Amino acid sequence: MTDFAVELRNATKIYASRNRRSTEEVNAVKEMNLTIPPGTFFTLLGPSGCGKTTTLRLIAGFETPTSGEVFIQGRAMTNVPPNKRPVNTVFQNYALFPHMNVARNVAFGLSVRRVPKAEQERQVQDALALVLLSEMGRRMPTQLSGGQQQRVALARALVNQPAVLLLDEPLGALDLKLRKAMQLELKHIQQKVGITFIYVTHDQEEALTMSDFIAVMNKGVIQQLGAPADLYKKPANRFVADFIGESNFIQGTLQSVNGGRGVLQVGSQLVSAVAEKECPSAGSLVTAIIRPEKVVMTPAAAPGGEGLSGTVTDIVYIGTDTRYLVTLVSGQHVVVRVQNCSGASAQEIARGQPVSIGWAAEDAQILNEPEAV
Amino acid sequence: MPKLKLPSAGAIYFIFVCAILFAPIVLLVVFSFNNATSLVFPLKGFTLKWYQSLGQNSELLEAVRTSVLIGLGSSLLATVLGSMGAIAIVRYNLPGRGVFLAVAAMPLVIPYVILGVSLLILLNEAGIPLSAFAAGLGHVIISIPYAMLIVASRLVGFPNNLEEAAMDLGATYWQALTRITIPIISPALLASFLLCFTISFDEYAIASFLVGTDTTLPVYLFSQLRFPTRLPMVIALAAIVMTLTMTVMFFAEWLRRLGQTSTRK
Amino acid sequence: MENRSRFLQLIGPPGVYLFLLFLLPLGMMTLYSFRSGISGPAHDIFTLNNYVKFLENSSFQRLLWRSAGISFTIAIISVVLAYPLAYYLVFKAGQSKTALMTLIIVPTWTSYLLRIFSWKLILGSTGLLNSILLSVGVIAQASPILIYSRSAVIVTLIYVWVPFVALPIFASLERIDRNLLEAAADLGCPPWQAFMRVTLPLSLPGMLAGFFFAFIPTLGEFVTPLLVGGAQGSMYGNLIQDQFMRALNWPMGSVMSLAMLVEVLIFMFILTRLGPLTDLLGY
Repeated sequence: MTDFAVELRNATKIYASRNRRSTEEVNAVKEMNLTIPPGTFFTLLGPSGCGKTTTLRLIAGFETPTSGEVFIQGRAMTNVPPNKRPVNTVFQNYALFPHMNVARNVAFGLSVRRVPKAEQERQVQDALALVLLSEMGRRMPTQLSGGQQQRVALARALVNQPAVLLLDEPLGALDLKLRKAMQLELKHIQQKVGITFIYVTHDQEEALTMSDFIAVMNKGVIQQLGAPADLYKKPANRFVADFIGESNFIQGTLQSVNGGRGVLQVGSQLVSAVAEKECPSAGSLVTAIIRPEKVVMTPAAAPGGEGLSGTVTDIVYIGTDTRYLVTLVSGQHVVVRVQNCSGASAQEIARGQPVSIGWAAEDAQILNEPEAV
Repeated sequence: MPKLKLPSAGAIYFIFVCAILFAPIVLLVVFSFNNATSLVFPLKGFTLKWYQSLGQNSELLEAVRTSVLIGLGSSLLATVLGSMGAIAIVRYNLPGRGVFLAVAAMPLVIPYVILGVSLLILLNEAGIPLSAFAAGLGHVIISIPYAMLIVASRLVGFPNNLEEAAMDLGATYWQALTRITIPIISPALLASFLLCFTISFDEYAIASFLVGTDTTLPVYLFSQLRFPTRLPMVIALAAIVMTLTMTVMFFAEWLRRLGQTSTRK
Repeated sequence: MENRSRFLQLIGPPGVYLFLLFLLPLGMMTLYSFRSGISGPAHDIFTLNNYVKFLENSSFQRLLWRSAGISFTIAIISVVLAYPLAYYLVFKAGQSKTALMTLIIVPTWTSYLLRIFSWKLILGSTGLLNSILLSVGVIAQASPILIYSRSAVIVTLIYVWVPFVALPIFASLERIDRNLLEAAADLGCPPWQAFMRVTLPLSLPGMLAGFFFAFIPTLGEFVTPLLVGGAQGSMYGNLIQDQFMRALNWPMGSVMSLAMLVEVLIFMFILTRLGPLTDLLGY
């Protein structure tokens, strides 16, 4: 039975936050139970302050949990200092040693372990080749661009062949194009090297691009854990639905639930959506989520048909798509994304035009939390 | 279109101030070569005899030796203690940091006379005899704030997680300090050492209370001010000391400036 | 947590040193102020005699305040004299401003004692100035101009402090955003007014800092009065030094020192409270 690469059991981290006036307690991570399968690209995703960096630091050993345990490759590591853990980190600001050149930076971990010089050189060369910086050994960190520094940081960590590589928002300082290129490169390197990568980011698109698994976090708690497609298609709650991709939240009264489908009454009209077993009981106020690209919009049909009636109040052209903002009769807003395919001139919908909004029942989902009244 | 360059009022003022500031130094150097025993114009001829006589003055040489020794000792200790304090206040934000910083900075604003007499009392109570060594102990106190300031300034120019990165790669905290932190702050360490040496070497107020029967150079100089015949020799000595201190400080300042252009990402 | 223990290990040695040789001596001095002698049977008596004597002796109080006044004068004049210097360097000297500022600082790198000594030689009765004036015929006989008087102390200390005071003023002037002055001009403000209403207020923190650096240490000054003060130029620091070195009345000296310490702390308190105020004025 293979051990998990990393396991956290009931890990809690509370620390005192000191500012000028007072010291307050911050509960950064709340009784987290997390298992990370080996060899995966695992991402901790969430907004600032959600506890993802703290979780990473608990794994790295820079923080000790207030309660709970940390296991790495099945061995208890809760009180083991960072320099003794089979874990290496790529920091957000790269933290390259300014007084050493690239080769010596990369070799640092090896030299601490007294690896023989010749062997060090060989491994450093291999690591630099892996990140495509073979010729840069003699340069000083200040002579490198941001992207190059980041790759040196990666090489410096990987050369030690850790069981787990931790990456703390490493691409944050790079411009968009470079970031996208690096995302793919990191993914390739992970697949090539086979090491477990634990990646922290607040950028959901980045997470969706690179990860095998994503744990969405908010306020110290994991909201949902799963493969990117699962998180996107079936968000567990409002937070996840809102954080990953874009969602429409339609409120209405749940009329009935039957065979996995629920009927929602919005205003005086009805729509259907997927309803799971745990969804609220009939009669309660609920929210259904539907992705903008799944909404079907047609010019207003005769009244009484399926769908919700509304008027187009805004149109934004974004090159690949057109976004329509539709205001329903009941006052709620729905965003509709329509791809701009050439030749699709059938839908010449203008502002102010009455339309009808609908969707396939399996594309929408009723949230399991009842709306607060 | 060429403009007539009249020096502005500000420039004239600046030159005037510079002249006044440098005048005594220049004059001392000039008169140290003068073949006369009092400071009067016209100059009476070039001579090196005052410089030569310095070598025979054993009391003077002893004072210089003492000052150098306690200067080296106190600056070394002040730099080490100040660096430790600097690392602590820059890298950590824990309870006690504010108090420590306040106490470490206080010697900057406490008049030296109070520092001197309070140490006098302590030494008396503890049964420690007065000596140049005692003066050196006092010099460390007044130097620590400067050492801390210089090293801390250098430290803040660098990312604060370099030690963490080193430990992540397998180093112990001690190894992180010696292989990463100390090399990075080394220009500041040297600048601090030189500055603290100068502070101790020139210090009179505290030394006057604590040297007992020993002498430091400033104490010796002070005692010579009453003997007009010894004047030229003292002037020669003054010229040497001034030139030396200026050179040392120049070097220290250059090092400190070097350190300021750090690599901040 | 490891962090805490490392932090303590780092502030431990300097903390201990500062405690033993800075705080403890101050504490002992306080203890001594309650004694009537420094050794023998008088050593362990607890008495408030010295306090009473100190408070009764009006000449002590007068000297304390007079010294404060002298320090104040010195600090103010230093700021006034240093300001145009710093202003010229920051606004008119262009690229060489840092080099020129360093030039002003260079003399401070030489021994304070030696420079004052040198001034004594220049101003003394057998000194340079006298010999020049005599030979030119301005005066009939040598007189110790400006030497051995309170004014001598003031002038000498101003001479010493001006470069130090110029530094913080220089720094705060440098930090003023030039756009602000351009905006003032753009809004029709003549240069003199722009100075009074923009530059001056914004440089107030630097002026305050400079004043602070000159004022506080000078309160305890005793070396300069010894060198150039003569009988009239004594300051409070001399009183303390006298008690410890000549009169050997350490308890009394301790009381006097404590009085000065309290004075220093009061002024520091006032000045640090003024700090936030000047920030307000600057905006």
